Amino acid sequence: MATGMGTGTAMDDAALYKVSVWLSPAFPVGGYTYSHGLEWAIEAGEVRDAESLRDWLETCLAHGAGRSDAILLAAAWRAACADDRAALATVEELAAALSPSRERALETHQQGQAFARTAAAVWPEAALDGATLRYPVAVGWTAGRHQVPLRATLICFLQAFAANIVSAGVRAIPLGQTDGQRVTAALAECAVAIAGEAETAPLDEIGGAALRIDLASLHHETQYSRLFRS
Amino acid sequence: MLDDGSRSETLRLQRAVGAVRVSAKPGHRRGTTVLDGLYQQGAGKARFPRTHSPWLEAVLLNTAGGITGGDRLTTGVSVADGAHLVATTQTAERVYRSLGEDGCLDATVSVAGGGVCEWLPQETILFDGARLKRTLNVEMADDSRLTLLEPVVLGRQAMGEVVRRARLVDQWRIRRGGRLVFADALRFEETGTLARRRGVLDGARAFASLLHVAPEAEARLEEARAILAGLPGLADPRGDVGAGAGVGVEAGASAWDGMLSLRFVAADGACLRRALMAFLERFRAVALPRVWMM
Repeated sequence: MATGMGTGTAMDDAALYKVSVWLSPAFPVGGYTYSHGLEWAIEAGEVRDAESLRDWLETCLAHGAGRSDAILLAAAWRAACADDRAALATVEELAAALSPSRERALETHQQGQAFARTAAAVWPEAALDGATLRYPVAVGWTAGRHQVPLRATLICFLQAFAANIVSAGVRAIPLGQTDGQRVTAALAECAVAIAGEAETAPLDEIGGAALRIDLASLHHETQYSRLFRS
Repeated sequence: MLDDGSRSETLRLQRAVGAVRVSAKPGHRRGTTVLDGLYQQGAGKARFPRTHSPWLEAVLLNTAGGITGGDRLTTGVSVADGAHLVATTQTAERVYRSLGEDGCLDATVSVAGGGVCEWLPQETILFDGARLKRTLNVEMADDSRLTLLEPVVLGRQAMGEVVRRARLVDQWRIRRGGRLVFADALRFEETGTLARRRGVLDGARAFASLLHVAPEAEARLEEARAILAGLPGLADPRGDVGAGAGVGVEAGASAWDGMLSLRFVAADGACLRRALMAFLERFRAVALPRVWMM
């Protein structure tokens, strides 16, 4: 198992168990209600099959919220390891301001709140009382408090991010379950590369070029018939 | 002549450094704005054309005639309570091929109390090999009004130039009443295929961000969307022919937390400019600065 940056120790089995729990679709953050604008891209015919879904998601990961959220997560993880509340506040302030639309702001805000609420109820010893944290910040802080290695957290986070949007695609395109899994599998290399980059990237490395993915989120707000909240 | 990148490059081996700071305050006559202070250094200049409008118009110039690697230009704008400043640029800013270093443009805007600042520069044109790092930091009060625009065009359209490599990093940070309310981080690193990606530009060559922050900004969302729906050259969002296929402009708007944010993606610079002018004329309900028409 890979070692986490700065932890110096091999990941133990209990840590692996925890990070799998947090980033499983069964952990109640309500991820299935968000499509990150994909629902509009499908409506507009931009995404219509496995290949166009893979391409759209690769852009999300490498040039969109995937990479930016990974850098936010890593900064929150470091703040947790150092028990640095001021650093956490800086990361959270940036995470809260980075959304390109009302729905994307909702997506990161609601999932962050749900994540922090459940984590605090199940593991009260590592809870952070009273703070509102956006989703990647909540995950990074929690993983740091539980001493779960950063690299593994990042890979699981990016996998969950991609798999959640794939699942939205499977339902909305629609696409066969096996094709959906092929898309998730095909994104492994990209997700691992982004995790590696995010592990050491400072906050000012945040930034993207996913302009038409942001535009899809703006259009989604006025989409007539919708299953998803973003 | 200005579009001849190679010639300008050879003329411009020396790095350009410049700074300009403009501050605006209310005039003696009620509802007017006057210049409070002006500092110009190096390639940074500002002009104040006579207008019939009550606000102050500042036209910013880079006398070095474009940006290349190693250039560093800073702009500072400050608007007092009760004043209204419209800042624009004399012409499109051309960013030439860099031999390695980034060109840097740093801008700070501060708006006090009920002040109004409109930052409406003309487009930034990235030539093949351009490297530009830009920051825009705003401090405003809860009741200040702010409009920010940044249009970007890839390559010289008339010459059919393809931008194979370019790097634009643009960081916006808007603080309102001391709180960071909006951060935009553009990290556009073209290495051959980025702009062609469907989720990036789908082959389109121009884009813009427009942000309006004001007490009534959220309430203007429906109005903004109605203007967008009537834009000249609007691509059918459900059609196969979009901005990337060389036709039209795509645009969308959203509002939250006291802000109205718009994005535009257009087939080319001319298309983008037409759309922005049409939007701004209706949304602002006043004419754009004259330099925009030339």
